Amino acid sequence: MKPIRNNLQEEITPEALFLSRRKFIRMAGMFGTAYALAACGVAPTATDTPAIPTPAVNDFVDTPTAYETIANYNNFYEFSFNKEDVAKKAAGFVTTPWPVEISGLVNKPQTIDAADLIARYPAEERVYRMRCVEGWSMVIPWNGFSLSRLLNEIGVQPGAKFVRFTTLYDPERMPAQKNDFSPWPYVEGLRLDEAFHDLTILASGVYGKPLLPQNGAPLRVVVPWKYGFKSIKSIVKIELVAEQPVSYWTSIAPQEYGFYSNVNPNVDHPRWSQATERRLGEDKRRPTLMFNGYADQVAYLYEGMDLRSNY
Amino acid sequence: MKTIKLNWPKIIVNALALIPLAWLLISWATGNLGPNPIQRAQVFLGDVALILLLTTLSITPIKNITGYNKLSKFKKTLGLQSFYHATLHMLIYAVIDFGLNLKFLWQSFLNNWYLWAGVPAFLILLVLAITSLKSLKVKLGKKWKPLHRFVYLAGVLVVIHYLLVMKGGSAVFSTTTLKPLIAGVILILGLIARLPLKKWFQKAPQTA
Repeated sequence: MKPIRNNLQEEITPEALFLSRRKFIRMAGMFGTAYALAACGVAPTATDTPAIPTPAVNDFVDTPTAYETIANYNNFYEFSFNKEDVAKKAAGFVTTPWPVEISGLVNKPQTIDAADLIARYPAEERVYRMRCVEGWSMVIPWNGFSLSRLLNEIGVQPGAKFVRFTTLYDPERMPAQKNDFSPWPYVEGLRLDEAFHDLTILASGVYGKPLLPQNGAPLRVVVPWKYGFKSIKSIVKIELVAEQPVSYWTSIAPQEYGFYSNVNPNVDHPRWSQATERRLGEDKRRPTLMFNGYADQVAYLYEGMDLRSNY
Repeated sequence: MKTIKLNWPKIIVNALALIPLAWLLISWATGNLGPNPIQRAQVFLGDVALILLLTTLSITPIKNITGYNKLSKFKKTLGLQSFYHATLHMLIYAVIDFGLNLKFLWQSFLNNWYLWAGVPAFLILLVLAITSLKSLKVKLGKKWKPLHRFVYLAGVLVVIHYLLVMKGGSAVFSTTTLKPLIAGVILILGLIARLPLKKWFQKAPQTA
């Protein structure tokens, strides 16, 4: 199989070692000693596969974030607005059955259960950086398959220009959908070439385990070069459309959250800087990378575009 | 020789004000602040500083409405505690989060709107904390009171600072965005209670 460029999996730190590092970082954070952390910069890496060099702009290492952190720090407003409360509120969320509607400008519209869809394509491990628009980031070993495989199979019609994804709307099961003025359901969209890009995946697992509800079970999109909110969770609908979809965050604050939302240290959020980020588990900020470090793979998609006006 | 007299009420108020900080330090040391302890500590200290500031600002309105004036002597203590917590809130940002990286900090100051409200608020509190020294209070004489009324401006700036940090602004209405809104309401109520309403109401019949 074709190797995944910029897949970070060669840098996995054994979890036990990783956890002891985390403990150390917590203690260091407590005493506010940035220099004590210098020792942590050197993370042991497995070197069986040739490492993809991290861009030279920094000497920070990408180490997969602890499972415990990935599972307990979530933006998922359908369950709770408090990132550390989502896991509790999402516990017991039932994802079987889970019909996914594939429709719009496709030759083979269909409704298929998520479990069948996941079984149809063998899962690959993709270790991606995840940068939240709020200024924090993680490194997550996803399991999933390229969205392009599904798109190729369903037969995209020539008129289709965008893919529109929709999250489940069910206030009984997603309690925070009840008491909010938000424009539910959560909707996200990608341009067709973005959706066909090999880095764009439909993920069904993390660290080899099925997705937890708080991480978007049973099936979610992951677009690693865009801010995290573009990677829509718990999808029930995939539509091929001609018009650019209006996403959830764009409908709430269009001047702050645009359609593209590519990670870009040079284009700030109107109210805060995007130049740096806090990698969870580390106590010092690191510079944010252009396209979240995937510029070599995706920059061509936006050639000639003004990224400032197409935020 | 003068014997030192312990001011027990003041000591108790200070001790009470420091309980949240003690909890924070213990939780941080034992790794119980969750996956993003820096942010948790930052928000927590900001919340405590804001609550202490609102408490300080509520003492005079309470006195005006109810006539209860025994809290007035704690205004300085509580105001200083608010300043201490605001200082820690800021130090976490600059020293721990940004590691005193001046380039990052400057970038952040230029682009993070909330700092344009937060930093001036902190500077006001700093000036007020310094001039709360007895010797400076005496020196400032009649100017002291108008100077310390700036604490209201600090309060307003802090509420704006808080609103600006929110991800969706106040557009996403939730318990999180409620915090700055509640603070704003308390602040406005306190300001209304300070207006010389009684005088106006007493005068009303005469002018009618």
